[in-house]
Amino acid sequence: MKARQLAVLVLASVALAAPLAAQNLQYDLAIGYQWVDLDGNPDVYRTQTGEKDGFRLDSLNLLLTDTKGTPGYDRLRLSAAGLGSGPDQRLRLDVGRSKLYSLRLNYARHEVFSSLPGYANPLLGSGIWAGQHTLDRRRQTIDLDVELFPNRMLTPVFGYSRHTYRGPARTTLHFGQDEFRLASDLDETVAEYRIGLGFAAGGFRGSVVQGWRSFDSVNSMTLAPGAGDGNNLRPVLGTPVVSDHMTLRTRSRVDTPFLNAYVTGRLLDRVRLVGSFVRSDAESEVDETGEMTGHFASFALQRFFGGATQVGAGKAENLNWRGEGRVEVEVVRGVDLVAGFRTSHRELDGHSLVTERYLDTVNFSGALPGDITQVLRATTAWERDEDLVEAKLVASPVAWLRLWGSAGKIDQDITITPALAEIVVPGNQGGVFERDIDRVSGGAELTFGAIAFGGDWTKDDSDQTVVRTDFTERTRLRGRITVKLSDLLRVRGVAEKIESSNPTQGIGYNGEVKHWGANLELKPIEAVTIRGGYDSYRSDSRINAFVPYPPAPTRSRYREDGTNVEGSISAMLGRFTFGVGANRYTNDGDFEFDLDSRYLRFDVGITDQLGVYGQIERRTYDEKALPAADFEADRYGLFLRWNGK
Amino acid sequence: MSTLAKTLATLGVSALLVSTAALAVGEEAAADIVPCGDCHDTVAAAFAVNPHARALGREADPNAVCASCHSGGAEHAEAAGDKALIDIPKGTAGATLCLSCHAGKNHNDIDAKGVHATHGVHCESCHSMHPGERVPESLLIKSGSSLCVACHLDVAGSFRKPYTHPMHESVDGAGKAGMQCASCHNPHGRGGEPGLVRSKAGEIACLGCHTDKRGPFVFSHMSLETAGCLGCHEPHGSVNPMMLTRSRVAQLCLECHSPTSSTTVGSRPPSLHDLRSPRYQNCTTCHTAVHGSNSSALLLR
Repeated sequence: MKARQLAVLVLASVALAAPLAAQNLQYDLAIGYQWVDLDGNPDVYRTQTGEKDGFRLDSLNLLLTDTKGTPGYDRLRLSAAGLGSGPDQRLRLDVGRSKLYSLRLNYARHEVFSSLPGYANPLLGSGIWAGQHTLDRRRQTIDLDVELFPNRMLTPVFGYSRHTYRGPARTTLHFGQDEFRLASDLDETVAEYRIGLGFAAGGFRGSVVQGWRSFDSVNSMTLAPGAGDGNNLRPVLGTPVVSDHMTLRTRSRVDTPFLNAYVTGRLLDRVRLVGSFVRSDAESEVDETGEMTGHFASFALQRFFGGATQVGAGKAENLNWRGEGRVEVEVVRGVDLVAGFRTSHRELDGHSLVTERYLDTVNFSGALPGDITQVLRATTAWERDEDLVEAKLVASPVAWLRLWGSAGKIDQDITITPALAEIVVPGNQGGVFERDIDRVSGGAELTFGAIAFGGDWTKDDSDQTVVRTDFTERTRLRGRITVKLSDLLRVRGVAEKIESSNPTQGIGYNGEVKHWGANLELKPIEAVTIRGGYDSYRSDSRINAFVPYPPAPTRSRYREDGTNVEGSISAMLGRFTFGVGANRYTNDGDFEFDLDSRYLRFDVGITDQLGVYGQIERRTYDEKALPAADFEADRYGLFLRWNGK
Repeated sequence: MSTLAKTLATLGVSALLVSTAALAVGEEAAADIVPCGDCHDTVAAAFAVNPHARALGREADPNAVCASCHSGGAEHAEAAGDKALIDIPKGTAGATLCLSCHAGKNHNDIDAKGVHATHGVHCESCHSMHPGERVPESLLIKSGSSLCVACHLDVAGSFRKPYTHPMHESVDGAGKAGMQCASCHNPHGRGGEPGLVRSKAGEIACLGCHTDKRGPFVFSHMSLETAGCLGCHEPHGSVNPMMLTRSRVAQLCLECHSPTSSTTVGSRPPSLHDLRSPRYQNCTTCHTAVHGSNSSALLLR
């Protein structure tokens, strides 16, 4: 049974049967239709919002509480939203009977759509607006967890999860000194079974869960229609590179058994202990095949060729484990000490064997015809260990003041062993890296009547970097303030500054992020709420880089200067409720755009239980460097709501 | 029968037998019950549909449930409702009481000294134990993410950017079915990375949905193993497509792939990469398998 059918079945059966049995019933339901009227680029709009025309279950909430009569359950909560045309859909069922069982079922469906003219599009300068990497896929997840005899000494737990990710996409393949657009069709399924035991005894409780996960994915790719000329329209050594046929198929299977254990408990009423351990051991097997025909060139082979076949097999083993222990102590009333240790290990061993047969080859002078077979055998490995020790002290000596401070140390050891035969340009692809990070932080929170304010400071120092953008020094400052005058006025503000740097010769990294924001909520009368907000996001990052060709050092700089302004008013007049609002996000940094959103919503109560509401939203996107991405979209929705108890 | 099926069956039957035997253990002794509902009739009536009403089981006297959280009931009743005599759990002490039942059973559960507790945010800051006639999910005082962004203004603003995770609820109220803050963050956990929701197999929250990025890959992109997803992506929202940290792909890649010193990971692209050509300004046009590959060390497939 498909997940959507299951969702509809659960929804319908519960909705029909539940009111007959329940002693206490609460419900609200909203269902309607929405449509989108769009000028401009529909793909960019859909990438950003996912919205489209159609019927939609906007929301459903159903709560049944039957503490005496029904033998099967004494509580049931069903909630759903977005079912129908929504880009994101979910259904959740939570049912159980106290001390007997508890069942949670979650279903979620997300549309994954991306089609942007400016992304992965080497032909943009030639006026071709369709990007070469697009997605139009669906992700569906079902999670089922059952707990028997909850709140007893021993509680068996069972779980099942199923995740699918399917649908078409466009991607590219670099082959024969050119890149070709491919149509991809992915069918991926992840299934997970879990069984375990929860326990509660003598002030301690926890669980041990063993799980098994299987991943099975098939990605079939063919040459996209009209893509035979590739991206490089110029001939290679006087000969055009073209393809008339390409098929590639990749099948991946991964089996991952895992163990998850957790325990917590109290000692002497003032001390709490927490311990956890998780281990997974993944093993993958991948088979790949490919067939290409056309006319290609290879500088590596120093030949032209008329086609190729590829057969590949890969295998990777990945062990992960992490153990953690923590103690929480109430030293005296109002003073808490938390100290902990965490150690983790990850390692991978990979093996790949790829056989490529190049057909009908001739060298660049047109001689030495024949087929060439190339066998690539690679072995890779990496290992990563990390230890963390930290302690935090929190004190609240008086009711209006809280103080805290913490210190910690992270030790990282990373060993990377690349496949030596695969290295094209030697250097910086393997080795042993040891990085220690020291962290100290502190903060305070003060409350004086209607005003509360506080701040945090964190400082990180590391002795080494593993990748160039790692910091050797980082400082983070945060502040916040809240002013609340009864229900009339509430003002909140936050400010944050993060400075990161790595002065190492040749890297010269400096990054700064500044953000501040404030919002205001005013309720002059009970029925009217006025909100306003402002945010400023600034980012400025500089790092030395090297351009491969023409070879030259450069200073890479990235800037963001974003401003968000918003405001809204909502009011209730008897059975009529309305709200209007607008916001504008403007970025004046490297990627300049304006994004405006305005909305009007209204709700009319026909009876105490029945009403209609509608919404009109306009979203306008204006990208300075690429007007082809712009759009103006109006979204209208009309919904019927029904609620009661 | 496969080994997996045998193991599942054995564990399942064993667990059922053990826990059935344990059913007889732990029944609470009856205590003197104060008739709270006689005075607090509206609260008692609304509480009938509250999840806590079932705390002592369906056969328990509803008045007995009140004493689970409020001590001093008898004195309070005898003193004609003197509020000073009844205990109303709040703050750290209140959290300790809540955790006597709600203490975690797994690594995504409640951490009594988590980041919220450090900042003075306790159970009653987000949950209402007596919400009235209508019982919201998890007894939250506001729905899902709109509760979080009331304090986390900076994150709310990030979701106004054009490229975000689908969490429309807090942004424009349009959709209610998207992700929520709690999809990735454990509000009861610690701050930073340790406070992220983890899969049952211990992976970070991102891989719960992005299952195709899990691998393991024979040829890993090592920045994933060192800097993680956040090395290239901004999870709360980005001004750049694909929620990247840079607007130009080549700039993002070259900031690591410029080995000007020998102490970092990040290979040098060969000189055939003529960055004056648009073909080479879009690294992912050729290097499509940026998250890892099983057949190409150069992440071409």
